[in-house]
Amino acid sequence: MNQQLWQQAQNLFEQSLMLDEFLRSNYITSSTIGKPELRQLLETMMLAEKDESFMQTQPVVEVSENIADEQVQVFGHYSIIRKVAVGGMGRIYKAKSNTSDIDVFVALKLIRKELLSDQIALRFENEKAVLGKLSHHHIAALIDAGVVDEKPYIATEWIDGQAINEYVKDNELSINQLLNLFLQACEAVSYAHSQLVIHRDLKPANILVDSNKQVKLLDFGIAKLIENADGQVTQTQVFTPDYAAPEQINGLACTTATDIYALGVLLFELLVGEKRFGLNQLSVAEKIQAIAQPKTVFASQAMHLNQRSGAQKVKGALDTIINKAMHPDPVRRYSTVYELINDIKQFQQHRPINALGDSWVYRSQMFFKRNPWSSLMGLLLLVSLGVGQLYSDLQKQQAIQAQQLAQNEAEKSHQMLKFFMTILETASPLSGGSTQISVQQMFEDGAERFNLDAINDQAVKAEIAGQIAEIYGELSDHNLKIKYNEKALAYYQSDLQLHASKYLYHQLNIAHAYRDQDQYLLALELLTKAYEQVKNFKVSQSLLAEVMINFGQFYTQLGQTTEALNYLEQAEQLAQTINDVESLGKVKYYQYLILQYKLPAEESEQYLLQAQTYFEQAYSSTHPDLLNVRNSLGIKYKDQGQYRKASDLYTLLHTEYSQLYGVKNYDHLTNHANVRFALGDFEMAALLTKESLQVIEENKIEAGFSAMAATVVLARSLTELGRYAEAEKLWLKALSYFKSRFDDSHAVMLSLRTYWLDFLIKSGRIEDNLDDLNGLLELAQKQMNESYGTQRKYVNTLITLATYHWVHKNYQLGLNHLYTAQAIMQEISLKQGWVYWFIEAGIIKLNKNLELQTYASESTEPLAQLFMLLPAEHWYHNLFDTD
Amino acid sequence: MIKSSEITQFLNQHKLDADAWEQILPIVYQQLKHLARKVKSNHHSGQTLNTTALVHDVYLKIKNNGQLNVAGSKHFYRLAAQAMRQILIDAARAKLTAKRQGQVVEWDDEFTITLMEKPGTTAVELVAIDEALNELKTVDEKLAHIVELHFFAGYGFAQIADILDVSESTVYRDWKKARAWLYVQLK
Repeated sequence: MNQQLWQQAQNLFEQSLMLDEFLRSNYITSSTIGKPELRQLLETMMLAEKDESFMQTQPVVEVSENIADEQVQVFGHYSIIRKVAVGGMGRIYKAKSNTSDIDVFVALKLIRKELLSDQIALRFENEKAVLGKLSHHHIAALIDAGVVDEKPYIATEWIDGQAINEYVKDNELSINQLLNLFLQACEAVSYAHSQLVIHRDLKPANILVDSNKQVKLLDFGIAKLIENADGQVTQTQVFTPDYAAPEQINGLACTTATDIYALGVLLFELLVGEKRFGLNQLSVAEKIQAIAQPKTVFASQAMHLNQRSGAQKVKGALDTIINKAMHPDPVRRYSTVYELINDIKQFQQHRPINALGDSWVYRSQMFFKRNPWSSLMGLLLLVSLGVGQLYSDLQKQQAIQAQQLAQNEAEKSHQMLKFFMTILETASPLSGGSTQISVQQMFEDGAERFNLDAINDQAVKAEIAGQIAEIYGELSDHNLKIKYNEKALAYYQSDLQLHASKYLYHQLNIAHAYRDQDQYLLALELLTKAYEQVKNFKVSQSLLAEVMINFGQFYTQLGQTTEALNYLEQAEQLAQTINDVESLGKVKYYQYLILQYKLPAEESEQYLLQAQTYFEQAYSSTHPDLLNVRNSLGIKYKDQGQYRKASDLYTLLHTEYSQLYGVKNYDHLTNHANVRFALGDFEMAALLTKESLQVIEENKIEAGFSAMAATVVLARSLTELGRYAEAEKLWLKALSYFKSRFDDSHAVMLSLRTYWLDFLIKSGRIEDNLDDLNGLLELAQKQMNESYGTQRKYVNTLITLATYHWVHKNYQLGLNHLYTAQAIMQEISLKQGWVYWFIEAGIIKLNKNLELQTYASESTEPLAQLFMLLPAEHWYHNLFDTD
Repeated sequence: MIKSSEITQFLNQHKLDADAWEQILPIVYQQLKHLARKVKSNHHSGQTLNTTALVHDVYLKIKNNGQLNVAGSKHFYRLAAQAMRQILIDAARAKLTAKRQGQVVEWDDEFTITLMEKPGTTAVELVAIDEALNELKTVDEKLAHIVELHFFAGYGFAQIADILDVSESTVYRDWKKARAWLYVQLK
């Protein structure tokens, strides 16, 4: 075929492909008149279109072994009974030991020679020593390992059992029974981790249930045995895609987090009866894709689709637990199997789960705040929360020799333990230290005595410095938090490319320390610089999203909202690509904080609702972020006049917050009081504010503004209840506090001055304050035009002014103000609360007083509603009765 | 001779000259074969290998040795497709030889890569397609590339579009043309 002919043919071919089959042949015939050769060529090409078998499937190869399966009868001191399986590692036989009189059955694994590297003999011995020490009820014990005729073998306890997934399928188990089995597997893994052994290849085939319904785990650490000598993990050796974690797919090192991921996968599969991400239906390539770009899984939904019972029970807490275990980012999974076990047990006992890594930070912080003197207890808490595991690790000196990773881990735990021991010594009365030492002081002394520089391994040193920095962060010691983060950075900045994520993470922590001291500009500059340094290197996506969110937060604080929104949008995009619901929730929340006064209430509310939905997916019901969102939502409902809804929300919030911190939140209490106030329930409002002030006092919290906000609500409630003497003291206190901090035109002062005049009117102390009131009115009007959310302040001022005129029998002036207030209430569609009914009833009453016929309403409903809400002896009774 | 540790540097060059190409190809070829054997040793016997998964594994392995830039990744996928074609054709030829001589040719002591013959991808057909493809290369090199990437390596049209910096619809059209061309040659 010549070039020219092919050129013509392919042009016509391309054209005709776009035509219907019917038109095609016409087109070919008409365009090849007088060119029979071209026509024939085109017709043949068209046949290719119709031939569906031609080159439509990809060629496939099979790799097969050449080894003939020679019949082995005796191997070393074992008699072979039967071949059980031929696996990737080698062959597995059921065998009987010849060294014992009683029949000891073993699973004898002959390892393929070619899987073993040169230094195998040494490594084999080391591993054997470590694995041999594993002694646990739920782990099939290693009996023997060695080399016979240059053939390496491993003999483990013979388990007569069934793979856990098949067992679950065959015996219709309840969710609780299933979880109990799963817990047995978890306990085995948790134990192994405490011995510094990682399984690496957890899958149902390796988890058997024996005839006593006991779970037995097989092949612990065997994957490790055939790993490359340099410790580098190669893809294919640990490649069981159906159970692999994203980091395995990406060729990164296996850690305990890899096993935790596999446990999450196992739980999902046991519950649903099917593999995650629908892996069953996928080709290997698609599996790799699916795992490397993970999404949130919902076992409950999958169960529902599979028509399995119990989906309703799994929905929520268990879904959260599975997703926490299967988090794409290893750092964000449960940090230990112990935590996973704990959450499952909490779930079984219908108690709140902790499927969030950082909750203990908040808990311990609150603990320290509440118990500043019980230092030793505080320390024990810390130890039991994070470091307990490390102590038992330390005893395993044999493990230290095992391999590099273990060496690092052991060194870390050793140094960490040393650090804590130093601190404990500081705190001990035996060391001559005072028992009146604070936790803070204790850490400072301990950290000073602990010689960080004596650690030789720079990586370990950086890690420990990072840990110490976190503890200081939890103790809110910003300076030391910065100092130790900088120590960690000293190492990480030596190779920015390698440690990009760690570097950025510690810089972020330092920025947080500045943020927590309100030094937003400094925090911003620092983080910007750090980000610039590493932005060309590979950084974990969720960390990047977090950095973007922090930029957003810092810019918000600095008043640069355009910049802030920009960064939040970037964070949102990043978070969406990795489906990081936690970050997405934060983005929505910060966007709300910026937009709440710029958008109409119902629009900004959407941001909050989205944030709430994301956080509910990301956390358990008691995460601080979620509680913050709920609180904002409560304020939002209050501003929209949905007082009952707001009040119910706060009742729930108090419970959730107490679960987390063991005490109610004072700001939530004050907000709740505000809502009850709006409902005319002044008694309850007063009680709630008193509780708020009590919390502040008992916990020695420096809560100046919060305490004053509570004081104001209390003073208002007492005013409405006619307890003027008590109220006055509080008003004077509040006025002096706010006057020294805000100038008279500030929004806070506008409210306060209005309330104060309201107090003077109601307590009968009003003299000639008209000028004052008119000034306030102008101010209120001006502020209302500036932002959403301040209309209510204007209404307050209008009502106070109307009341003033009413008292002085200037009915027309009072009525005018009430009409203005009514218009605003209509505009913001607020139709609840006693203020609303006061306006409506006031308008009717003043019309009557003025004997105006134009106002036709004779309705008595507003007045009835008003007095239904207000207490029997309220001041307004006089106002409506005496005229 | 390039060492395998230097492979990323080579791949990352903006333009890969013919000389570099020829040096790297055997390495990728060896790695694919080597990997096939390792994958095998982790699976039960009788399991067939998806070439795309193999290529992905080699990709990760090379990437682990050093950062691959955008150009580097594209170069790699093209090379891998070429290597994969070579492996498949080797297996096909081996099968034909075996049929003639009554034995299977092994590529090392313990493993054999065997072509799974299916309608449309029998050893005879593959060898014929390979030869026709060599000819297509002289007529329209771009079309020949697409056959290598789609048929032998199993990449999707979108991925090919990305590798060759053209639109997906162009790839799709060119694939149809190439297939028609080969059909004319072979039928």
